[in-house]
Amino acid sequence: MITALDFFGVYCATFEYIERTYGHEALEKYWAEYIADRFLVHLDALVAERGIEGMKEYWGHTLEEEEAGYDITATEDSFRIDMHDCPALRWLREHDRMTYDDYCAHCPALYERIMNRNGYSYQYEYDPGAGRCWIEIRAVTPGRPLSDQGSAGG
Amino acid sequence: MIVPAFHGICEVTFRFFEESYGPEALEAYWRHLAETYYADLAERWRAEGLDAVEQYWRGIFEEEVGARWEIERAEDAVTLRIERCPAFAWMEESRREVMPSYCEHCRVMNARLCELAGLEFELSGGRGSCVQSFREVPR
Repeated sequence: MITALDFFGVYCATFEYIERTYGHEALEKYWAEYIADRFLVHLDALVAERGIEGMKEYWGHTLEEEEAGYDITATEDSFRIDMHDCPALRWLREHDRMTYDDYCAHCPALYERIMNRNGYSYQYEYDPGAGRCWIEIRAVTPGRPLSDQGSAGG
Repeated sequence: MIVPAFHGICEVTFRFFEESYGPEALEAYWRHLAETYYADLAERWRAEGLDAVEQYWRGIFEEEVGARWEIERAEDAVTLRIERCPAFAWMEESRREVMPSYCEHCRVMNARLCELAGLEFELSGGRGSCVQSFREVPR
């Protein structure tokens, strides 16, 4: 068994292995079609069914579980995380396991996809490797994918 | 810190390799992790022998959530009896189907780790309960 104690280290090593062995497109496919679409089904359902409240429930739980340093700000139609101390980056640095430099890139690759297909915009900025970032999610067409905006006739 | 959901990430990661590149690619990934990520562990097992094997698995299973297990120690072997695998426990509770080849990662990775450490590995059972034996190589 690969222990859950090695979560961040093995995850990071996997990114490096996929990109080096199969190329960056393969890594993008892994993030999008496997982690976002097949693992994060709980987040997708929460956002589809409960919108901003679902985001609060999801990240409120996961960031507490992962012992992150963060602030969440939410309104009726927006949700923002200011991350001061990313638990993954903290663990990778402390254990000298930072084997993939752009580890942070997986977050937008996963979450932007899920938010967009549920009708939310996703903006973000991160300081690679520093453990600091912000993401801001805004309701645009909740319940309808953003890509449908043009064809839906308003 | 332990994040049990990681077992679910592992499972879809294995699916990615198997579905995209075939079972050989999945096994190559497992062997790569054993040879690189767990290289320090293999070295510790080689240097300290079965005491280090026992210590490692006790440390893991005492932290993992939802496991039922016991370790038997003999002079020449460490036997890990897993009645309820924590990875399967998490996936069952999350109502996730577990791919048929999931348990193979224990066989492949532990066999490779033992090979690097000069030990022998044997596994029987699977799908949530198994017996894993780590033995000194008979001289």
